[in-house]
Amino acid sequence: MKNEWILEKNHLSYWLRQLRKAGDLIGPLRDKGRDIVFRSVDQIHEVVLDSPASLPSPKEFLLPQYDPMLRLKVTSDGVNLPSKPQPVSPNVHMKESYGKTGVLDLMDKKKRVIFGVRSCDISAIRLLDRFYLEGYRDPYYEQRRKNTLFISIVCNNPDPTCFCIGLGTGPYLEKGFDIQLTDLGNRYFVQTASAEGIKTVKGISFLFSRPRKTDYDDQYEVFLSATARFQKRISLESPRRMILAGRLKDDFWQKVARRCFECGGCVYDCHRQDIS
Amino acid sequence: MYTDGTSSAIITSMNKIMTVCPYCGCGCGLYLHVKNGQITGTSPSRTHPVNRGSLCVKGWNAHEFATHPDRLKYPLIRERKGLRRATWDEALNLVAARLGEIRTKHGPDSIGILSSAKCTNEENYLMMKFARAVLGTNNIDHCARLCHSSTVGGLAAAFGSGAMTNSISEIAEASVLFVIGSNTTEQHPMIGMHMLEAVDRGATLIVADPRRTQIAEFAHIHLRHRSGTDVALLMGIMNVIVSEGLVDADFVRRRTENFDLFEEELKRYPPATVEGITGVKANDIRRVARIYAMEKRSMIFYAMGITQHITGVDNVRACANLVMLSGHIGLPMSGINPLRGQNNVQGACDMGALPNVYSGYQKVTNPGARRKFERAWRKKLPVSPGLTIMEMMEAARVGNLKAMYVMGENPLMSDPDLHHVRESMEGLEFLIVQDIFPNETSEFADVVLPAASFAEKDGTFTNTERRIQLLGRAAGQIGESMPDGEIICALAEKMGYGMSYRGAYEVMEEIAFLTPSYGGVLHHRLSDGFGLQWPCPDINHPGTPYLHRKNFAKGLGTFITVEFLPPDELPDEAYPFLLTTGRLSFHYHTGTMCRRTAVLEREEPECLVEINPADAERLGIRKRTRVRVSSRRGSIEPKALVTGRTPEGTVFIPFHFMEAAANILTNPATDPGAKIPEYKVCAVKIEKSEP
Ligand code: SF4
Ligand code: SF4
Repeated sequence: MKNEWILEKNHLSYWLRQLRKAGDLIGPLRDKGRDIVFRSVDQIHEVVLDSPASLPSPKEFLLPQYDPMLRLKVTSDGVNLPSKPQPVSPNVHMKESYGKTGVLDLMDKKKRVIFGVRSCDISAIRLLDRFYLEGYRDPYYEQRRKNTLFISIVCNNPDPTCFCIGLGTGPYLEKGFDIQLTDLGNRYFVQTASAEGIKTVKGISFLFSRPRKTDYDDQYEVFLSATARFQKRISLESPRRMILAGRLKDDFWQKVARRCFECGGCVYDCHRQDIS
Repeated sequence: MYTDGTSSAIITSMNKIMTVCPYCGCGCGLYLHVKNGQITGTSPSRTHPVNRGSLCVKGWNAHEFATHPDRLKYPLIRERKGLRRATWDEALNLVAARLGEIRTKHGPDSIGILSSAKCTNEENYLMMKFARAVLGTNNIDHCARLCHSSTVGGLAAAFGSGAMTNSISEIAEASVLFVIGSNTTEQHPMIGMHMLEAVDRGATLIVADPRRTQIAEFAHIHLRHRSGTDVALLMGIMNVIVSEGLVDADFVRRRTENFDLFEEELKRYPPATVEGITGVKANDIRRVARIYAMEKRSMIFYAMGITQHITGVDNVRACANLVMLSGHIGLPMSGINPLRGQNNVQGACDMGALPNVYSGYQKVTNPGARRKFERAWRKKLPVSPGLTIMEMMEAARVGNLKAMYVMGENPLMSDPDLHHVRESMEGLEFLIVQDIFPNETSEFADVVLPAASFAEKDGTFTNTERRIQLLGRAAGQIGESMPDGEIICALAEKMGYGMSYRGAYEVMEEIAFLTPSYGGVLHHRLSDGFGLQWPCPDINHPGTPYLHRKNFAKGLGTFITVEFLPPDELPDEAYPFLLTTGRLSFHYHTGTMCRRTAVLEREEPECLVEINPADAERLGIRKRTRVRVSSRRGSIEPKALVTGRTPEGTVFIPFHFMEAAANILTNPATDPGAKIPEYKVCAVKIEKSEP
């Protein structure tokens, strides 16, 4: 049986409220100006469902800028001396103890549901997985990744700057996501791919119904209209060949680099850059 | 059981608080990430008109210094053995008593106050109220003296108002950008971003700078004039505009005065003469004049390269004359734009943390203005203008100034000729330093008061395009530290002057009431969007994106005649190199914040002196070797960075590094009007340092 369901939009907030019981619910919320930011959802009705396609990157929830790993306790013989008094950790409550070892593990073990991310984010996170989970496994990344469930929403209306269609990283994914929603007007077409995603939907299956023929038809129509709206068509194949064949001019990279302000923002924002 | 409201889930979760970057005058909007009550990260606002989803490296790391373990957490009092922890009561009582004593014994003008371009508008307003109403002195100044006092004076005389005339969001639409004395991409990165966008759209970029700075790499024309010859260069350009008939005669006739006198003076600067003074080819001067004058939508940008000279005010006036001559002002994408350095240096000036004006540049010598403030503050106010920073330092050295109260500044790094500044600090009877970190100046303090950082307080900053923006409080106090504004109020109360407000918003109400250009600026109006740009005279006014639309603030614009004067100290036989100082993109001013940020310190951990390859070869200096740079005032030992960026005969040193403080070398000679020191030119010699 296919992992596809229908969720009435009426039931969305109920569903999110139930999801929140298991952990922190993070979603796109309006802020100053026309900003939309991902942060913990306090009022579920404030989650933005009609945002533009491109949203801030959720990378920070897997690889935060500041991530304390452990804290050492001052022992009587003064061996594990932290040099300065440390503030409370963002990951751990005060009540957690050092135990016998004198080492407080500060690993972030919080469960999170991140609602409203985009297919390109999901594709990018899969690249992060390759980097952090193949070969050497980064335990901090792994822990967070395991505890985080992503609910992505297909972009019915790509931005003029969007180019996922040329790279096969969106706007609609066949695999690799946890839970993927497609907006069909008054209902969502829900697909699950990962075990965690399937478990989450099945755990509250009374909210979901099985899709019918008309749902599939509508979903296909939305998919077609979304893919027709892209203004940018990018193919990586020809640049790849150019680079491999050494047909780039010597000063090309220099020209690219000259524009760089060395802000380091790409490291925090872009899923593909992790050389800090 | 209902768990909402009590749910700890929200407290331990991830929140984001919109605030304003605490570093430079661009005033980028950013979010501080707060997790479990602790600040853990930063991200840009995506729709903010200045930064539109980007930040520079300092902004991206703005969260780090706020929680640094070095933060001052308790008041400290000096005793024989050094500084010891004290309670707030103890410290404030001591300050109140000592200031009171000194005031009674030597008069109020024996006390000097340095306010801060890092603090909020509300705090600067309270500080200037404290100086004038509580202490009874006009001796209040702040670091704007050291960066843009020439602008405040120069543009006010020409137009009646000294601030950026245009908005940052207009830059991308301009057709000519003339950048003089500003390394914009490094010093104001987000403004630089808009400039490069304009270039992408086909704008012509002209950069005048002796150094081949990053922005100069993008320039269509780069004029490398000799440091300190800006007046001559600008006069040369204007000479061409007049002689080739490119003057906007209509504009000059209708909206300006004093043109004829000025035209006479211009005749003395034909391009050939100017080439001799500046080293810029006469032909380039002509090209620039034509491009600048013939396009509409031409904007001028300048920064410290114009202002930090003994002719700083004249440099500014020359720029002002240039825009009037070509009629490039009073329209969108056309004007003169001083780029202010500090996050709130515009605001600190607006708030009257200056010795001669109240908030909104209302002169202390104007009896009407003074009466207004006297009535609002219920106190007789001093009549004559007070001392500037440099004058305070001098007065302290000779013993006329007995006490200083320094809020969020670090004169022992930032002022020129540090050996002299040290003597001044030692000459004081009583020094109060109020800051977030211990710094070079607090080592001399008798009392150190711990203040809150931008992340822990409410209030507003005004960025370089006059945009007044609201801060967001993201975290609780560190230790016993308090926001600067609350410290000032508490101290005023101890000194018997009632200063109590319900919050920063009430202070802003008082500012709005007393300050015409801030008349409609109230916190609740700032909270939905990205603030308001002054002048905003009333509660329904939407703010002003560009200035001098139909009239100049003072009516007619005035051509002020200027004359080229060489810098105060030029290279000679004993000191053959010209030293110019400035900033790096990874660091910020005296380094108290950025040098406590791992990423920034990693990128640029030590002081390097830039020297031209030809000079380096002649002196046998190889890259990264330590050299000794000395001026008549002292010497430092940075490592050498051999680069063609800096022209032959010139060296460049950033002033962030305490280990090799450039300001030990700099010349304290000042502009006669603005009293701004000449940081950009002094004479030094360079030797290989002994291993
Ligand atoms: S349309 Fe594609 S690139 Fe744009 S946000 Fe959606 S998934 Fe990402
Ligand atoms: S450009 Fe200036 S205001 Fe913007 S992030 Fe950088 S330092 Fe902060």
